[in-house]
Amino acid sequence: MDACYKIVRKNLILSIGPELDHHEANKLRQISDEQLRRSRARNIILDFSVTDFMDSAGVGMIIGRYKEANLRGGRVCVVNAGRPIRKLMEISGLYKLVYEYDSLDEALDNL
Amino acid sequence: MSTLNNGGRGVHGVLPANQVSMVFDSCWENEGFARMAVAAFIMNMDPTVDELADVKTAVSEAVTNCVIHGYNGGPGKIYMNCRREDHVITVEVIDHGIGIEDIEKAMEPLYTTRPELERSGMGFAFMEAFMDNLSVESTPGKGTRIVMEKIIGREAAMEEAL
Repeated sequence: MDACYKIVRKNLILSIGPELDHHEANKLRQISDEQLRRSRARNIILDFSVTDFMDSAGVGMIIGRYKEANLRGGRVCVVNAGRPIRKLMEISGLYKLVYEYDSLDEALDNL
Repeated sequence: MSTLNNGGRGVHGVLPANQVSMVFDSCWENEGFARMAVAAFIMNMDPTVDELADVKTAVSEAVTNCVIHGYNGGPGKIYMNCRREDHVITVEVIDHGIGIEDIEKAMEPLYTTRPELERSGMGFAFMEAFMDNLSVESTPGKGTRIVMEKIIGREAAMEEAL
């Protein structure tokens, strides 16, 4: 499944595929950079609802998105993350940079 | 022939030792192949969902290192050997690429020689965190060999030891 995106108000929502590896990370980075340039979005919401694999490339991608959102005065949120994804984010200290919500609606309400 | 009814396990429920070796081209596509191959190899060991995710991530990091650092995105062969003995899975990943000058430095969390690729520098940290044992040998100009071990079904293994 391909990575896809949606813009809701000032939020860029990126739906991440089943496996967030180097290849998927590159694709998401391109989409994100392009959409942030074109739209007025400043927050980035990463939706992990169908993702069950991630490696350090995904961590790099999230840190990169944090920098981009930060430049625009926005935030990065993670939603619907399962156990393996959470474990990686914890070990790499990503929770210091990103917010986490249980659902997309909850994230949209809080941004 | 009751022993045939427990998935080929012996009398103590332990699978016989097994090993598979493979050689594949250094490219992104095979990063996915490698982790799926190892996942398939350990399936018989009844891994938990977490153990499976841990091993897949560690293998992905090891192979990514060969592709992006060892061979610098260029052509090359990656050698992967998986061995199962009792409850332990051992994965060996070898490349004949540029090697690592300073292994200690390379293993520091957040250290990356390729910040322009938006790498996190967490590759070795994840291998260490997700596996029970990690050893790295490297010769600059010759290549790198990584050996990782993990106990699969730790709870089952503990029960057996009691």
